[in-house]
Amino acid sequence: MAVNLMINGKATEVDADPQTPLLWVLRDHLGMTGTKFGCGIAQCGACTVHIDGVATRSCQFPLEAAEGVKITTIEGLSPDSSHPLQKLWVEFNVPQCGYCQSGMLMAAAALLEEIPNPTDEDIDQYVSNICRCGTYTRVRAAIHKAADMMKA
Amino acid sequence: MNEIKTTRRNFIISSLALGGALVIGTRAQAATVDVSPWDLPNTTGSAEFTPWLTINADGSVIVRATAVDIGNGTLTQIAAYIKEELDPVWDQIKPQYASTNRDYLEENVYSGPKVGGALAYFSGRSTGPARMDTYLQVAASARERLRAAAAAAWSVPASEITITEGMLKHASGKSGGFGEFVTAAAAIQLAEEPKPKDRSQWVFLGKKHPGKVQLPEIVNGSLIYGVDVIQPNMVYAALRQSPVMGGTLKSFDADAVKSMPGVLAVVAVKPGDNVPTDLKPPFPFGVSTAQHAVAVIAEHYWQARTALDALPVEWDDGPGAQWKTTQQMNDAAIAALDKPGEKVEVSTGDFEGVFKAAKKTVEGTYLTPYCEQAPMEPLNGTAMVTPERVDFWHPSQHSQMAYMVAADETGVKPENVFFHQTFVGGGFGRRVFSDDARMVVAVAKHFPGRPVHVIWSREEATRQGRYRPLMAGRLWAALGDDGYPTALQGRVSGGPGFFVSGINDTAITSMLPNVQIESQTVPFHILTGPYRGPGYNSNAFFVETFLDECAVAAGIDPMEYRLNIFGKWADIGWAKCLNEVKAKSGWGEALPKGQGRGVAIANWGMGGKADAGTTVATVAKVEVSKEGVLKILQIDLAFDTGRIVNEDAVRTELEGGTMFGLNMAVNEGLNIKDGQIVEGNFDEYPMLRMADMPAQINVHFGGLSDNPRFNEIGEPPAGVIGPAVGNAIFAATGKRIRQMPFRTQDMSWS
Amino acid sequence: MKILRIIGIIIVVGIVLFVGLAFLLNQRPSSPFDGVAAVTAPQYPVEEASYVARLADCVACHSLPGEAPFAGGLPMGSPLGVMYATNITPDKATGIGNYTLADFDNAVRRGVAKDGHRLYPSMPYPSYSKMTDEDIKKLYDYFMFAVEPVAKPNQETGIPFPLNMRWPLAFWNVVFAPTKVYENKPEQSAEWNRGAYLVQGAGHCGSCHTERGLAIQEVALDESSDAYLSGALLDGWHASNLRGNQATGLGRWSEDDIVQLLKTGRNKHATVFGTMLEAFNNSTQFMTDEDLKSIAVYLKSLPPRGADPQWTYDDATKVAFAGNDMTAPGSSLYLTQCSNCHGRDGLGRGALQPPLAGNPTVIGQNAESIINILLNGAGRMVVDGVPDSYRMTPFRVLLRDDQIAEIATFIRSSWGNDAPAVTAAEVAKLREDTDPTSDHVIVLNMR
Ligand code: FES
Ligand code: FES
Repeated sequence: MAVNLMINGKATEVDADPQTPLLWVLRDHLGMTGTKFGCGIAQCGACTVHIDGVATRSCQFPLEAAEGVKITTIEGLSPDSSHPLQKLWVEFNVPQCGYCQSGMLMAAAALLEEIPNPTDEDIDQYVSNICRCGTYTRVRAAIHKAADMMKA
Repeated sequence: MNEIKTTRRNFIISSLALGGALVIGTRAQAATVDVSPWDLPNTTGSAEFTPWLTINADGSVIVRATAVDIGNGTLTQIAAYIKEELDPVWDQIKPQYASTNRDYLEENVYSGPKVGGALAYFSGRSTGPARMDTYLQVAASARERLRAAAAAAWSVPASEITITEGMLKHASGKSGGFGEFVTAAAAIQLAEEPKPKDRSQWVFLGKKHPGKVQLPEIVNGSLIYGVDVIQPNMVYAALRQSPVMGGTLKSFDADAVKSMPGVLAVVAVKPGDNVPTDLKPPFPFGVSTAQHAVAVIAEHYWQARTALDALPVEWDDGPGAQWKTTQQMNDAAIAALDKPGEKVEVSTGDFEGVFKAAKKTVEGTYLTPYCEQAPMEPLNGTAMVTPERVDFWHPSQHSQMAYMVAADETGVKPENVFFHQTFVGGGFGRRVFSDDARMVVAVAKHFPGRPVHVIWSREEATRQGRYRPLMAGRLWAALGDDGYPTALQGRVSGGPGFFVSGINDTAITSMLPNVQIESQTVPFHILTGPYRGPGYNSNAFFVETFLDECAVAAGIDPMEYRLNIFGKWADIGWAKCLNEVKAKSGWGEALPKGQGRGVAIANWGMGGKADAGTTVATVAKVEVSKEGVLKILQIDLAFDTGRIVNEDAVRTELEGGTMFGLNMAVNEGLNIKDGQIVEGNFDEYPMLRMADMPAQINVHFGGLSDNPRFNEIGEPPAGVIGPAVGNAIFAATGKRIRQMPFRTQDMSWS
Repeated sequence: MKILRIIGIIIVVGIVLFVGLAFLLNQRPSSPFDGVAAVTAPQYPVEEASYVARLADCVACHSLPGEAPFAGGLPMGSPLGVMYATNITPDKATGIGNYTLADFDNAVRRGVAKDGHRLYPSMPYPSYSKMTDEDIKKLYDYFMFAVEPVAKPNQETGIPFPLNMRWPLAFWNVVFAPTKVYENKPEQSAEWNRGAYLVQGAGHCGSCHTERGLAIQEVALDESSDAYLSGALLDGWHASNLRGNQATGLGRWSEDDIVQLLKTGRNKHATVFGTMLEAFNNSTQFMTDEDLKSIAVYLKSLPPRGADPQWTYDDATKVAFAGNDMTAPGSSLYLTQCSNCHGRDGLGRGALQPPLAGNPTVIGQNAESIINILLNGAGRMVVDGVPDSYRMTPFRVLLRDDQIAEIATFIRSSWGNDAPAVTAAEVAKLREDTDPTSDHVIVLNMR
């Protein structure tokens, strides 16, 4: 079944079973592998994308629900890695293996859209992603710094 | 490349560009690492100075890595070595993975001590001195050749030429980039290879702490991990292995799923279907043996996965099914401690005599469960097998092992096996033995001619692990009149593959005059493998919890107790680390009821010797509610690796290793039901998240001894945090935690 | 359960003492098939025969997961003790291979085995008694000729003496079990009558959805009582109200909604889960569209029971989330644990992630199902042999009792939902009752 999607501002058509999780549509049908597969059950957050601006775990988001919404993936977070979070991730040497980090960035970016000046508690709530390498303290620090930068 | 079979001496220069005129780095020129670092021949106009180093016509420098970067920064580290000695522009250093195929063809250029390989294998010990010395030497040799070539071109003495930021310069105003002199330099013969700089002259190592070279690709999602590999004409496979390890595949009904969308084939994998070779792998091939499995191959991954779920399969569980419950296995492991161990690991002095005469003895029994490494990138790999050739893209933690496994599984001549190392979404030991590599190739060889991308579901990966072994340990100490141990006896037991080395390696077994450590194997069927700090991760918990119990029995503050014991150890790093965390953690300051501090100290890699391995001392401050809910308030740690070269990289690893160890201690433990692993995903096998962490993990550098070694740092912190937290829970509640994971233990108090 | 058990004992013993009609006891009931010649070959096309077995969903109780169908062995809890479903394959030694059509009929419609012993009413013969002679003949056909015989001895019940004596059940039958085939109501349409026949008879919907009385009998067996299909507790689940109540029943559902749920396992209001998941996987999805439509027509004819509050969507919760207002207890847990699939708007995500807003199960007075599914997750829907792609996560390990209670309370009081709060104690109890590692886990209860 052909489904029309709006991904990173571009209209895209995919032919896949409507029950296919958006994650696999992105990765496998569209070759957009920045969005990662970690658990498939909405637990780890590696697959986080923005759906109409809200951080959403794409592994539990069926294709059939993706028509008519605006999807943003890590590839579309900024055209040239210029999002303050992306810059700070590099500056703070946040990633270790890096596998969870697309999802971390997408969750953090959505958080800053919703709450420009998040508290530690806000970060705990909105960035509940799993990082097996244990980059949490740096993720937190980079989000706080980004909030400061974006205010200025 | 097939016929080349030359012996290369260490720093012989080859100006031949191997393999002709392929271009590298066409994608992302601005990036430091090529995003698809497969085996690539050298580009024309470049010169290979050794198999480790090639300088291109554009001045960029390719340096080849054998230690896979699993997030620990090995690529950045080798770039730093090159920067120190050769000083190219930082962004122009292009780390690449060394070709395993070439290593084979050219008699272990990368892994043979004879020809100057850094280490005898492609995994682990990423910052070990052997690797460091190799890269520094390689870069120094290249530097001197470039200077010599420029000197000849400019007719000035080489000694007057400086190299900075990729430019050769002379006081006369003459200057030029590396590219200008590459060809000439490649032909230079030096009378003697230069010596790398003395540490006192370093300007980069230890001074600068660059972030990982692959950061730019990580933050925009373009870094290619194994699971991201896309090859033309590729198909996907979903995999199911015998739910009870060691079970066999009875039957499956392929017809039931053949007509499902996209389904191309259903294939079965059997152990023993390999075609043995006479290759000598870094580990015996036995550790990579395939389990019985069935896989569905389809055009798209979700199609394969859906069809696999629908596939009727029957298994014969085999003898593993006798282990009905976790409890039954725990009981068996603990019961094994009642008998003298089959194997005596250490025996010194007259431990029996001292125990007999002792007025006071302490005994403790401990248990650690099976744990899964659970790297965030699920196991996977892509292989294209034909009768003549294998191409294999895989996030290995040991590319050489994976390469040989691919040859062994297919029977294709090793020179025609091409292994393409990808980036790796976490390893923690899971991807070392290469059983995952074998499974990928074993599936793909049943669908020859097209690249087959095999992806484990998280559930499959969790239930088909090579786990940290279930281990039980019992320790006895005789305490002297001053309350300090005079003799130690230890027994450990576990399934096949368990590691006792942590106990043998701990300073206390080397320091005490009367020690015996015994071990016993219990016939469990669950497969095991390395897991961040193999052996050590259980043994540090046993020993350091036990030492705390001894301190309590002696009525001495646990920190003082350790300082008094380890203050006498020949390795001053131990006392330094303890004093550092004692000073920085607020040790001794009063805490409200329900809060407590605990300390633990251990060393990974010392082999029972002083001034070896890496020591870490950790103090944890915790709070336990009356209902028994645990919260970590603060973590302070100090460490001694001897010396360090990249402060931030060390800090990162210490933070990460601490969190890994904390998760292991608090959360992790697999259960067994009727021989099968119960837990499948993160809903059943919980992971710490941001909300569970103290805001800060304080890494202190005052424990460093400046002993002349640069030891590894990823594994050591993982062993001490657990006992530190367990000891803190005791301080807070009076309840002694002797079993992992802590979340299953009752910590409530009133 | 204890009180129930004591009352059960009193009643059973009481009946024994006071009625004492001994002549009833060993009397074999009469069947219209008495004296019919032995059936040696199938009388109906196998599709027709198996269809009746699908309608009656025999497989759900008479099979163990992963083992041969109909060979029995599934444990079922009851107030009296554990009992095991029997082997109903045509194996001569251990199954029903020696049953004549009349023997079979007596077992299915009257609860009496070939050897004369009485079946416990966990076998829904009070419902099956309404099945037509023809459907019984088809069912017999199916079991004799389409099912593979499996040699597997039956397991003794775990019911202690004297309660394990079966003969008092004869009296139970006299009091509670009708023995009449369903009779069409001339004032209703043929469709309605077919629906009533399926729901009350083979479909035995009341076994789960109608509450049971003190002697564990269903308190109503047809629409003459408004207790019929008004929802009931079993197996640690609450089988929902199928009557016309607006908020908690099928009041807001169209006939098509009902058909869609039974056919595909989901509709815009809910998805099947818990024990209904098994009914869907094994039975309802195989029913014809006409039969499903009939069922819908019949169910839609059942008026609401008791007070009938309305439900309307209230976007206050959504607005609160948008404004980062996390003051409502449980909202933060909902955000991290639930919103990824069910949405901050509580409306689910199409496909197989159901809405929580307005979902009858969520709003129902009894929270048992909600607690259970939060603790233990949901099984997978299997359509055409293919398990679905999405599953509800079990939170048994990840969340504490108080956290699950908080989430349950939050979803029961958000987006216009208005149901009582859930306490940690309720969660703790169900956590223990459904602990998969314990040996007293609820398996199946009397259905
Ligand atoms: S892959 Fe989607 S949350 Fe883990
Ligand atoms: S950086 Fe490796 S999982 Fe987060």
